[in-house]
Amino acid sequence: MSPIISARSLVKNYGETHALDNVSFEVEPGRIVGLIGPNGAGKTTALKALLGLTPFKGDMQVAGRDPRVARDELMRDVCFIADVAVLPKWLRVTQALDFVEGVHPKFHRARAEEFLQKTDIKMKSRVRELSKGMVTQLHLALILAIDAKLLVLDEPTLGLDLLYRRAFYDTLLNDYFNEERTIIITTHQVEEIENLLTDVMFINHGKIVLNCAVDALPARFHQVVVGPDKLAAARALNPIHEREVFGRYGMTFDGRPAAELESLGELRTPSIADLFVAMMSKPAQGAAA
Amino acid sequence: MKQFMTLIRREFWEHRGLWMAPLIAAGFLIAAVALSGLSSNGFKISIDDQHFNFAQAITQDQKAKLFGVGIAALGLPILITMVVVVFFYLADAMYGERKDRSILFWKSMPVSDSATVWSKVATALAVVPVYTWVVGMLTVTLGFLIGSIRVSGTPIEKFVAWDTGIWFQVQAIALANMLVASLWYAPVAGYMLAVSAWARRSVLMWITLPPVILVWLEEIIFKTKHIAVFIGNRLTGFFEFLGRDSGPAQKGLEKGQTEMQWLSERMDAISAVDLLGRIELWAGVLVAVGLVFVAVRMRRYRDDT
Repeated sequence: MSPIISARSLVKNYGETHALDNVSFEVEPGRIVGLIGPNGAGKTTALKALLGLTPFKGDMQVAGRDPRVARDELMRDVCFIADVAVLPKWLRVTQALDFVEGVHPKFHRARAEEFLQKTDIKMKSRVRELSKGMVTQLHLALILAIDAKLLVLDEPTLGLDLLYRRAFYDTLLNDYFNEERTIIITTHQVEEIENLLTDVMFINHGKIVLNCAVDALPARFHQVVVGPDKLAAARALNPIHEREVFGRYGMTFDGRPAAELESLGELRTPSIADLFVAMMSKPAQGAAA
Repeated sequence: MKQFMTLIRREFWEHRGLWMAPLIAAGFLIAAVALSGLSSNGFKISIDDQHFNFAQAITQDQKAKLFGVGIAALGLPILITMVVVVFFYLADAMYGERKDRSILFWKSMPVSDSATVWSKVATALAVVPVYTWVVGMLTVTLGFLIGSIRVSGTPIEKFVAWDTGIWFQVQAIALANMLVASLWYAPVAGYMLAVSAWARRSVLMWITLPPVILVWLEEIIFKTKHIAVFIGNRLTGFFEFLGRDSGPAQKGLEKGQTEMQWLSERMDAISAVDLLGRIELWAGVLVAVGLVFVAVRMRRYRDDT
């Protein structure tokens, strides 16, 4: 299958800051990709570039189109939720449905209404009268009813309580995702999405520092806690990160065969959150934000 | 087409003043006609130095003249309301969606920046004027009916008579003038949209400041007023055109002229349709298209969310 997104040598500078520093990546259909990075790492710029919201240098094809020349056509196949504040306050629920129905050829109004019926949202309400969680539900209702190929979520659950956050991701997985669809998510709350991702991409200082299928992580990354006696031996194997806790050392290794590390202690696969901390605080990559 | 209509509906949802303000003005007018105190003591109507009073007999033609001028005048406050509302609409049209960041939602839809901006142009220069014209038409008709019921049995009654021919003529001229005015003021609208798409805040200040500064600089440096005259001509030119033949018409009835002839000449004089033959109007339309294009580019590339 041809990739839904293929980006080659993307460059975008804001003054002296390299928001995208020669970034290349591909995303296959049917994946759920977490784009993860500290503040100011270039996440939002990368998303804006692929949505045609910002100019950049380099080559990019999204669903077979260059987002810079055909944003409007591209949006037939791509949906995005930027964050909860984005629906205008004056909009009524019925107007939101009318609008999307009027402009989007792939919108199924009945599906959106069906979803809204399961919520406490009243059709007559204006967005300003809804809670933050309800606004996200409304946005989600609109998006679930669009037959899109790619869904881009930029901090979609920011400012929501745990119940809404869980419900949001559950709905996404159960009612939306299938093997023809692709989802890209950025969030600070890595723990929350780690179980639903098929791929992780770490971005820092405008560069992709990790791009890996979640299935492939256990073979590549290992974490082991070593005592002071084995510290020198462990360091000799070039851990990408070490962290001292109560006189013992948590070490993270990249690309070392398990056989080489087993003598140091019990091996485990780092969580994405652990990996994020390990890679973002690598001295070579600069300090994490 | 369905998409464009939806975009226009969106403008009316967001800027409710566009449809509410003319209705409110109409409500006030109707209330004024229905509730104002009527006194027949010394009641006198004068139009262009022609005085009518109760003692005088009134001809059919004079009645028609009163009718025409009366319904045209009654519609005027609704028009003025519309101009004010459209002014503030244009200032906010491209700025509001950036201010509340809803632009990211609108841009997540398969709608081009060009269609979006043109829907705003069409709203300001065509849909709202035609809508206001319809509201005005219904208001003056209703106002006339209420007024004639109220004056029936009073001495004023004999001044008031419905005239379908005049009614059509007044409505036709009103619609034509509104559309010609839209073309004449299109560059002003285009300028406002471009500034509204560009300014990070204080849109109204950014709309007024550059022309004021240019005029001021020209006066300081060159001691001339070309820019001021140019801007002044654009702002008042439409009305100057309307008043171009007011000289003879103002004189009132000429010898041998019937009231009806006078009225029809007067009506021709207040029609702005001939303005369509002026090169300034079309030059302005061209500039407007350029400015709308600037607003489209601005919406497309401005990235301040």
